[in-house]
Amino acid sequence: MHEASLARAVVASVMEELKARDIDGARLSAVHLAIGELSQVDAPSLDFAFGFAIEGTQLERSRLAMARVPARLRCTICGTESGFSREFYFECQSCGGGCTVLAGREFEITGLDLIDQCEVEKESVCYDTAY
Amino acid sequence: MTQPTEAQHLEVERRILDQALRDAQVVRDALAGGHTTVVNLMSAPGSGKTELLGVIGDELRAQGQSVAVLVGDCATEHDADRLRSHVDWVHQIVTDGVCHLEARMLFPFLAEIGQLAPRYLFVENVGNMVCPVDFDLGEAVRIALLSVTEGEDKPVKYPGLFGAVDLVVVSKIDLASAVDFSLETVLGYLQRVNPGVPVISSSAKTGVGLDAVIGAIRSLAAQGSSLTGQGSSLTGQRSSMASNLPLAGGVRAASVGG
Repeated sequence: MHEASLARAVVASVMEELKARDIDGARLSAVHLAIGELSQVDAPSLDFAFGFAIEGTQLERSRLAMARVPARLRCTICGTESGFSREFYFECQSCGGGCTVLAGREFEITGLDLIDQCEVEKESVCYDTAY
Repeated sequence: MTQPTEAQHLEVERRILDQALRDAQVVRDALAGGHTTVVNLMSAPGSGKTELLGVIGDELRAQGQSVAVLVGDCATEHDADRLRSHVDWVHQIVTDGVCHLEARMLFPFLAEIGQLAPRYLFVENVGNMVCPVDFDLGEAVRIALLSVTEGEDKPVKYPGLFGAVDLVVVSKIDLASAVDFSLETVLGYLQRVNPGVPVISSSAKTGVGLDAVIGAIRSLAAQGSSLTGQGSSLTGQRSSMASNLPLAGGVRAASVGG
């Protein structure tokens, strides 16, 4: 539903990262994301929205490489760890207590693939051959 | 500025919604001086957010506490018009189709609200059970409404919302018998998505449960939400907070009786 907002946030975060690394003019071929199972981010929708969010930016023609992070929960009462299920949600499967989320809420940039300068100059070739 | 000389992969660790969290902090900082508690109200369209805010506004003002409201809708100023006589200050945010509010949308109003320094700023989010929950508005308290006409299984259909709030208000309880509503079923589903969350049945029409809602908001405001700043939904973190809320057990028990 709100993947257009999220796609814009991805682009803004990438720009921040490039600036922080003092390579803010760099062109990218791919942005790697970690998306937690509980993050409510729909990967196909985000991929679709990303195509519009990058128009006119230096990310134009880059692609998203998305990896899903499974959820891990831990019961605050008995300490039992488990995955997430639509049967129990955040209720402990052992004792019925509430669980904290150890992993699965991620929505993070984990990597950037840069296009080298010479490839940028002949970019029609570069984009076809890079992947 | 240096340019890479060959294709390379950079390892990165950056949370994408960091900017949204920084925006939320701007709201917190702007309103902290006035001791204003920000409450984010989220639910489906038509569940009774505006009606509830009207009666809560009346009651809080009768108790001498000032109330401001920012209300978000895709179009029209209908809700702001409805609330104007019930609160001290209200402004409509027309999103032009955007399905949720973001903290930066509050920025244009912060100076004025800061001057007014209301005891409470209620933010009535765009009616939507999916998107709003992912955007921290700088609130201290998150409330979800569930009207009896929506069906008992909404908590498990929308665990992202119901799993990420400090309080669930079951609204329009005066209509419960007309739609064969089962509060027990709702409580069972809520226990799965948000164990221990306080639940209050209410009716803005009859006044049932309104004192309990106001009391719960007051308690949560004093305590502070355990989930703000996390920037994402579907967290089980609130359970520990909720179980510490003094009135949780009583309200839950009381609400079962309707």
